[in-house]
Amino acid sequence: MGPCGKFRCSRRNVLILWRIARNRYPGFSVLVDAFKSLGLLEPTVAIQPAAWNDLTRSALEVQLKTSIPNDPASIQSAIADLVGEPHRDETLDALRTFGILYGVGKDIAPPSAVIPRNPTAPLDLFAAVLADKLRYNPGERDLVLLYHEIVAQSASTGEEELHTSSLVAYGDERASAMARTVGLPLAFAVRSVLDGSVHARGVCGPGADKAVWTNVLQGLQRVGLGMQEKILPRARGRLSLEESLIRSRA
Amino acid sequence: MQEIAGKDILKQGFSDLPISDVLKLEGIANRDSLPYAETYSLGELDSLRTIVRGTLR
Repeated sequence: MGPCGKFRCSRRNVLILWRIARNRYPGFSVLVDAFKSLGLLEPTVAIQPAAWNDLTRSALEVQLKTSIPNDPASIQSAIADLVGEPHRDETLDALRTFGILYGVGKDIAPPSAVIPRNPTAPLDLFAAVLADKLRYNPGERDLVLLYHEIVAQSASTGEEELHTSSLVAYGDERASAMARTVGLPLAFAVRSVLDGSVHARGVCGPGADKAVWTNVLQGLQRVGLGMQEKILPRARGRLSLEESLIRSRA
Repeated sequence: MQEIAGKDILKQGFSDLPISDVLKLEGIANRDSLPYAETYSLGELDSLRTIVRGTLR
Protein backbone atom coordinates (compact mmCIF):
# COMPACT_ATOMS: atom_id res chain seq x y z
CA MET A 1 0.00 0.00 0.00
CA GLY A 2 2.57 2.56 -1.09
CA PRO A 3 4.40 4.90 1.21
CA CYS A 4 2.42 4.34 4.37
CA GLY A 5 4.12 2.61 7.20
CA LYS A 6 1.65 2.06 9.91
CA PHE A 7 -2.08 1.89 9.52
CA ARG A 8 -3.89 3.69 12.25
CA CYS A 9 -7.37 3.44 10.99
CA SER A 10 -9.30 1.63 8.40
CA ARG A 11 -12.76 0.92 7.30
CA ARG A 12 -14.59 -0.47 4.42
CA ASN A 13 -17.97 0.25 3.05
CA VAL A 14 -19.48 -1.91 0.44
CA LEU A 15 -22.22 -2.00 -2.06
CA ILE A 16 -25.64 -0.70 -2.81
CA LEU A 17 -28.40 -1.32 -5.15
CA TRP A 18 -31.72 -0.69 -3.67
CA ARG A 19 -34.45 1.70 -4.39
CA ILE A 20 -37.26 2.38 -2.04
CA ALA A 21 -39.90 4.73 -3.30
CA ARG A 22 -38.51 6.16 -6.49
CA ASN A 23 -35.31 8.20 -6.37
CA ARG A 24 -35.21 8.11 -2.63
CA TYR A 25 -32.10 6.73 -1.01
CA PRO A 26 -31.96 8.34 2.45
CA GLY A 27 -34.44 6.89 4.90
CA PHE A 28 -34.05 3.32 3.68
CA SER A 29 -33.14 1.90 7.10
CA VAL A 30 -35.94 3.68 8.93
CA LEU A 31 -38.56 2.66 6.39
CA VAL A 32 -37.55 -1.00 6.19
CA ASP A 33 -37.42 -1.11 9.99
CA ALA A 34 -40.98 0.26 10.01
CA PHE A 35 -42.09 -2.52 7.62
CA LYS A 36 -40.46 -4.97 10.01
CA SER A 37 -42.31 -3.50 13.01
CA LEU A 38 -45.61 -3.89 11.15
CA GLY A 39 -44.96 -7.60 10.57
CA LEU A 40 -44.58 -7.28 6.78
CA LEU A 41 -41.21 -9.08 6.89
CA GLU A 42 -42.48 -12.08 8.90
CA PRO A 43 -41.29 -15.27 7.20
CA THR A 44 -42.88 -17.98 9.36
CA VAL A 45 -46.56 -17.11 9.83
CA ALA A 46 -49.19 -17.33 7.07
CA ILE A 47 -51.95 -14.85 6.28
CA GLN A 48 -54.73 -14.62 3.73
CA PRO A 49 -55.51 -10.97 2.90
CA ALA A 50 -58.78 -10.43 1.05
CA ALA A 51 -57.12 -8.06 -1.43
CA TRP A 52 -53.76 -6.30 -1.78
CA ASN A 53 -55.04 -3.27 0.12
CA ASP A 54 -55.80 -5.66 3.01
CA LEU A 55 -52.18 -6.85 3.30
CA THR A 56 -51.05 -4.33 5.91
CA ARG A 57 -54.11 -4.94 8.11
CA SER A 58 -53.68 -8.74 7.88
CA ALA A 59 -49.98 -8.51 8.80
CA LEU A 60 -50.82 -6.17 11.70
CA GLU A 61 -53.34 -8.64 13.12
CA VAL A 62 -50.66 -11.33 13.34
CA GLN A 63 -48.10 -8.90 14.70
CA LEU A 64 -50.42 -7.52 17.40
CA LYS A 65 -52.21 -10.84 18.00
CA THR A 66 -55.57 -9.13 17.90
CA SER A 67 -58.23 -8.46 15.30
CA ILE A 68 -58.16 -5.04 13.67
CA PRO A 69 -61.34 -3.62 12.17
CA ASN A 70 -61.37 -2.80 8.54
CA ASP A 71 -61.39 0.99 8.88
CA PRO A 72 -58.62 3.52 8.17
CA ALA A 73 -58.59 5.07 11.66
CA SER A 74 -58.00 1.75 13.47
CA ILE A 75 -55.33 0.67 11.01
CA GLN A 76 -53.50 4.00 11.11
CA SER A 77 -53.53 4.08 14.88
CA ALA A 78 -52.08 0.53 15.04
CA ILE A 79 -49.35 1.62 12.60
CA ALA A 80 -48.52 4.72 14.64
CA ASP A 81 -48.24 2.59 17.80
CA LEU A 82 -45.77 0.22 16.17
CA VAL A 83 -43.53 2.58 14.19
CA GLY A 84 -43.73 5.61 16.48
CA GLU A 85 -45.34 8.95 15.75
CA PRO A 86 -42.26 10.53 14.05
CA HIS A 87 -42.22 7.83 11.37
CA ARG A 88 -45.98 7.49 10.97
CA ASP A 89 -46.56 9.69 7.92
CA GLU A 90 -43.68 8.44 5.78
CA THR A 91 -44.68 4.85 6.58
CA LEU A 92 -48.30 5.51 5.58
CA ASP A 93 -47.10 7.22 2.38
CA ALA A 94 -45.02 4.20 1.42
CA LEU A 95 -47.82 1.72 2.17
CA ARG A 96 -50.25 3.80 0.09
CA THR A 97 -47.75 4.00 -2.77
CA PHE A 98 -47.44 0.21 -2.71
CA GLY A 99 -51.24 -0.16 -2.76
CA ILE A 100 -51.40 -2.26 0.42
CA LEU A 101 -53.35 0.11 2.67
CA TYR A 102 -57.08 0.74 2.87
CA GLY A 103 -58.27 4.15 1.77
CA VAL A 104 -55.96 4.24 -1.24
CA GLY A 105 -56.66 6.93 -3.79
CA LYS A 106 -57.98 5.80 -7.15
CA ASP A 107 -54.79 6.99 -8.84
CA ILE A 108 -52.71 4.22 -7.29
CA ALA A 109 -52.94 0.87 -9.04
CA PRO A 110 -52.94 -2.26 -6.88
CA PRO A 111 -49.91 -4.56 -7.28
CA SER A 112 -50.28 -6.56 -10.48
CA ALA A 113 -49.41 -9.96 -8.94
CA VAL A 114 -52.22 -12.39 -8.09
CA ILE A 115 -52.73 -13.02 -4.37
CA PRO A 116 -52.02 -16.70 -3.64
CA ARG A 117 -55.08 -18.86 -2.86
CA ASN A 118 -53.41 -20.37 0.17
CA PRO A 119 -52.28 -18.59 3.33
CA THR A 120 -48.82 -17.16 2.64
CA ALA A 121 -46.05 -15.56 4.72
CA PRO A 122 -46.30 -11.74 4.88
CA LEU A 123 -42.68 -11.58 3.68
CA ASP A 124 -43.51 -13.45 0.47
CA LEU A 125 -46.59 -11.33 -0.18
CA PHE A 126 -44.67 -8.11 0.50
CA ALA A 127 -41.82 -9.27 -1.77
CA ALA A 128 -44.34 -9.75 -4.60
CA VAL A 129 -45.59 -6.20 -3.99
CA LEU A 130 -42.08 -4.70 -4.05
CA ALA A 131 -41.10 -6.69 -7.16
CA ASP A 132 -44.01 -5.04 -8.96
CA LYS A 133 -44.00 -1.55 -7.48
CA LEU A 134 -40.23 -0.99 -7.49
CA ARG A 135 -39.61 -2.48 -10.91
CA TYR A 136 -37.34 -0.40 -13.14
CA ASN A 137 -39.22 1.67 -15.68
CA PRO A 138 -37.83 2.27 -19.17
CA GLY A 139 -34.93 4.73 -18.92
CA GLU A 140 -34.27 4.04 -15.24
CA ARG A 141 -30.92 2.56 -14.34
CA ASP A 142 -29.30 0.91 -11.37
CA LEU A 143 -26.10 1.87 -9.58
CA VAL A 144 -23.35 -0.19 -8.02
CA LEU A 145 -21.07 1.66 -5.63
CA LEU A 146 -18.09 0.11 -3.93
CA TYR A 147 -16.04 2.26 -1.62
CA HIS A 148 -13.02 1.64 0.58
CA GLU A 149 -11.47 4.33 2.72
CA ILE A 150 -8.29 3.81 4.68
CA VAL A 151 -6.78 6.48 6.90
CA ALA A 152 -3.07 5.85 7.30
CA GLN A 153 -0.22 7.75 8.83
CA SER A 154 2.61 8.55 6.45
CA ALA A 155 5.88 6.99 7.60
CA SER A 156 7.85 9.98 6.22
CA THR A 157 5.82 13.01 7.32
CA GLY A 158 3.67 11.60 10.12
CA GLU A 159 0.62 13.26 8.51
CA GLU A 160 -2.60 11.34 8.14
CA GLU A 161 -3.51 10.47 4.57
CA LEU A 162 -6.75 9.30 3.07
CA HIS A 163 -6.46 6.34 0.71
CA THR A 164 -9.60 5.62 -1.23
CA SER A 165 -10.44 2.88 -3.68
CA SER A 166 -13.83 3.10 -5.30
CA LEU A 167 -16.03 1.91 -8.11
CA VAL A 168 -19.11 3.67 -9.46
CA ALA A 169 -21.00 1.79 -12.17
CA TYR A 170 -24.37 2.68 -13.71
CA GLY A 171 -26.58 0.36 -15.72
CA ASP A 172 -27.20 1.12 -19.39
CA GLU A 173 -29.50 -0.09 -22.20
CA ARG A 174 -27.50 -3.29 -22.61
CA ALA A 175 -27.12 -4.49 -19.02
CA SER A 176 -27.68 -3.49 -15.42
CA ALA A 177 -24.65 -2.44 -13.38
CA MET A 178 -25.40 -5.36 -11.05
CA ALA A 179 -25.30 -7.86 -13.94
CA ARG A 180 -21.97 -6.49 -15.21
CA THR A 181 -20.24 -6.22 -11.83
CA VAL A 182 -21.28 -9.76 -10.85
CA GLY A 183 -21.15 -11.50 -14.24
CA LEU A 184 -17.91 -10.12 -15.68
CA PRO A 185 -15.63 -11.00 -12.72
CA LEU A 186 -17.06 -14.52 -12.87
CA ALA A 187 -16.46 -14.69 -16.62
CA PHE A 188 -12.83 -13.56 -16.26
CA ALA A 189 -12.25 -16.11 -13.48
CA VAL A 190 -13.79 -18.91 -15.56
CA ARG A 191 -11.64 -17.99 -18.55
CA SER A 192 -8.53 -18.18 -16.35
CA VAL A 193 -9.53 -21.68 -15.27
CA LEU A 194 -10.28 -22.78 -18.84
CA ASP A 195 -7.00 -21.47 -20.29
CA GLY A 196 -5.07 -23.47 -17.70
CA SER A 197 -3.48 -20.59 -15.76
CA VAL A 198 -5.20 -21.52 -12.47
CA HIS A 199 -3.63 -24.36 -10.51
CA ALA A 200 -5.83 -24.28 -7.41
CA ARG A 201 -8.52 -26.95 -7.37
CA GLY A 202 -11.83 -27.34 -5.62
CA VAL A 203 -13.97 -24.57 -4.17
CA CYS A 204 -11.79 -21.64 -3.12
CA GLY A 205 -12.01 -17.88 -2.78
CA PRO A 206 -10.64 -15.40 -5.32
CA GLY A 207 -7.50 -14.87 -3.24
CA ALA A 208 -6.48 -18.54 -3.32
CA ASP A 209 -4.67 -18.31 -6.65
CA LYS A 210 -2.94 -15.18 -7.94
CA ALA A 211 -3.90 -16.09 -11.51
CA VAL A 212 -7.57 -15.68 -10.62
CA TRP A 213 -7.47 -12.24 -9.09
CA THR A 214 -4.88 -10.72 -11.42
CA ASN A 215 -6.91 -11.79 -14.46
CA VAL A 216 -10.16 -10.59 -12.87
CA LEU A 217 -8.71 -7.17 -11.96
CA GLN A 218 -7.06 -6.70 -15.37
CA GLY A 219 -10.24 -7.78 -17.14
CA LEU A 220 -12.38 -5.37 -15.11
CA GLN A 221 -9.95 -2.54 -15.89
CA ARG A 222 -10.30 -3.34 -19.59
CA VAL A 223 -14.10 -3.14 -19.54
CA GLY A 224 -14.18 0.11 -17.57
CA LEU A 225 -14.95 -1.43 -14.19
CA GLY A 226 -11.55 -0.87 -12.58
CA MET A 227 -11.23 0.49 -9.06
CA GLN A 228 -10.25 4.18 -8.94
CA GLU A 229 -7.54 4.73 -6.35
CA LYS A 230 -6.63 8.07 -4.79
CA ILE A 231 -4.39 9.35 -2.02
CA LEU A 232 -5.42 12.67 -0.43
CA PRO A 233 -4.28 14.66 2.56
CA ARG A 234 -6.74 14.31 5.40
CA ALA A 235 -9.54 16.82 4.67
CA ARG A 236 -9.83 19.56 7.26
CA GLY A 237 -13.03 21.30 8.23
CA ARG A 238 -15.18 18.53 6.82
CA LEU A 239 -16.67 15.64 8.74
CA SER A 240 -14.60 12.54 7.98
CA LEU A 241 -16.22 9.21 7.33
CA GLU A 242 -14.83 7.92 10.60
CA GLU A 243 -16.29 10.88 12.51
CA SER A 244 -19.66 10.46 10.83
CA LEU A 245 -19.70 6.76 11.75
CA ILE A 246 -18.92 7.57 15.38
CA ARG A 247 -21.51 10.35 15.42
CA SER A 248 -24.14 7.91 14.10
CA ARG A 249 -23.39 5.58 16.99
CA ALA A 250 -23.50 8.26 19.66
CA MET B 1 -15.97 -2.62 20.20
CA GLN B 2 -19.59 -2.07 19.20
CA GLU B 3 -21.94 -5.00 18.84
CA ILE B 4 -25.29 -4.72 17.10
CA ALA B 5 -27.87 -7.49 17.44
CA GLY B 6 -29.27 -8.72 14.13
CA LYS B 7 -32.76 -7.52 15.00
CA ASP B 8 -31.46 -3.98 15.61
CA ILE B 9 -29.37 -3.69 12.46
CA LEU B 10 -31.76 -1.27 10.73
CA LYS B 11 -32.40 0.79 13.87
CA GLN B 12 -28.69 1.33 14.40
CA GLY B 13 -27.68 2.40 10.92
CA PHE B 14 -25.07 5.00 9.99
CA SER B 15 -26.81 8.08 8.64
CA ASP B 16 -25.48 10.54 6.11
CA LEU B 17 -22.12 9.09 5.12
CA PRO B 18 -19.71 11.56 3.45
CA ILE B 19 -18.78 9.29 0.57
CA SER B 20 -20.23 10.90 -2.55
CA ASP B 21 -20.66 14.52 -3.61
CA VAL B 22 -23.78 13.69 -5.59
CA LEU B 23 -25.48 10.88 -3.66
CA LYS B 24 -26.83 11.06 -0.15
CA LEU B 25 -25.93 7.71 1.35
CA GLU B 26 -26.63 5.88 4.57
CA GLY B 27 -25.19 2.59 5.74
CA ILE B 28 -25.88 -0.44 7.85
CA ALA B 29 -23.32 -2.76 9.44
CA ASN B 30 -22.62 -5.89 7.43
CA ARG B 31 -21.59 -8.90 9.53
CA ASP B 32 -18.45 -8.99 11.66
CA SER B 33 -16.04 -6.22 10.57
CA LEU B 34 -13.03 -7.48 12.53
CA PRO B 35 -11.83 -10.36 10.29
CA TYR B 36 -11.41 -7.83 7.47
CA ALA B 37 -8.33 -6.41 9.15
CA GLU B 38 -6.57 -9.60 8.14
CA THR B 39 -8.23 -9.86 4.71
CA TYR B 40 -6.94 -6.38 3.84
CA SER B 41 -3.53 -6.88 5.52
CA LEU B 42 -4.14 -3.94 7.86
CA GLY B 43 -2.05 -5.31 10.71
CA GLU B 44 -3.01 -6.21 14.26
CA LEU B 45 -6.48 -5.18 15.42
CA ASP B 46 -4.94 -3.44 18.42
CA SER B 47 -3.11 -1.07 16.08
CA LEU B 48 -6.32 0.06 14.34
CA ARG B 49 -8.39 2.99 15.54
CA THR B 50 -11.52 2.09 13.60
CA ILE B 51 -12.59 -0.68 11.28
CA VAL B 52 -16.09 -0.95 9.86
CA ARG B 53 -17.56 -2.92 7.01
CA GLY B 54 -21.00 -1.90 5.92
CA THR B 55 -23.61 -1.90 3.20
CA LEU B 56 -24.52 1.40 1.54
CA ARG B 57 -28.06 2.45 0.78
